Amino acid sequence: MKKLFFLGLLSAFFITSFSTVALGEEVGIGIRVILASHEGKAIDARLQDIQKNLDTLNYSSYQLLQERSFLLAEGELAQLPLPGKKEVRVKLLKAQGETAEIAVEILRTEKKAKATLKKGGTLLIVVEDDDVIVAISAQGT
Amino acid sequence: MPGCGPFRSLLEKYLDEALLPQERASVERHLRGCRRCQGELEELTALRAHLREAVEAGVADAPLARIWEGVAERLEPPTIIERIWGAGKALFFPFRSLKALAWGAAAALVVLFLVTLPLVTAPPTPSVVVESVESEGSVMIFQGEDEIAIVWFFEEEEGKEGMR
Repeated sequence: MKKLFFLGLLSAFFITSFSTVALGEEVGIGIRVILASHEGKAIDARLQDIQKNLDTLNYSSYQLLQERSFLLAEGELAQLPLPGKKEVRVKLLKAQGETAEIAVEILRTEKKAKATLKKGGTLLIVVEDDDVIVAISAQGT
Repeated sequence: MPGCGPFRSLLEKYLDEALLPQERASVERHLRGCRRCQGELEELTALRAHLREAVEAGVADAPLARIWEGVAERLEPPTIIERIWGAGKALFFPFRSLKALAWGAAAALVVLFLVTLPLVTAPPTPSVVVESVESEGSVMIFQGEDEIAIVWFFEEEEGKEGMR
């Protein structure tokens, strides 16, 4: 009986140590608003980390208009203005360990997206109507 | 007819039912014709019955509780140090032998293996997974480089270029 109890304790220790799930934690979310253009070939130096991906789009120059970082808890919102009197709203739906589930909405349009980002992952939202790109990155806690 | 000597020596075994069938038949044949051996057999049977009764009565009446008390009195009680050592040993060393410890370690390793197996064998998931998209116009979702996913909301107006 003692042996079984000891084994149970040992198993519980291993199981709990390998399934550490952080609940209700805050996640750093970075939002960059980029104005894209077909004129010129200038790329903002601060966009170097995503330049390869910007090169795949059909624009030739990219200007960083705004860059903000937010520390969001589940259910909290981050909002930034966009050109064309629009706004981008990012809501943290769920944070679990290294992943964050977010909902992105371009206000005054019908454009919405939901995505799960791991720490270091970036979601690029290209709004062609206004030649605007929104880069949303999960920066961890 | 042979004398009684060989048969008398077999009477004990006859009562114990330890004779071979031929021996038993031979003894019974002799008993039918020998009153002396019949008497001997009856005496043996009666003696066995008395002995059995005596033994059963003796066991039933034996003062076992008093005997055990006497044994317990003669045994030395454990000292306080021995008691503490015993309790500590039971708490910290629940395994009584090395073999049991080995089995415990093996079981722990199996549990560890089963728990970590999904982590090791699971395919790597992308850093960004687009779950859903809504738009009034066309949308394209594609995987970029360096942990980037792209959601492209196309302009509704016709004639504008898409991807390069």
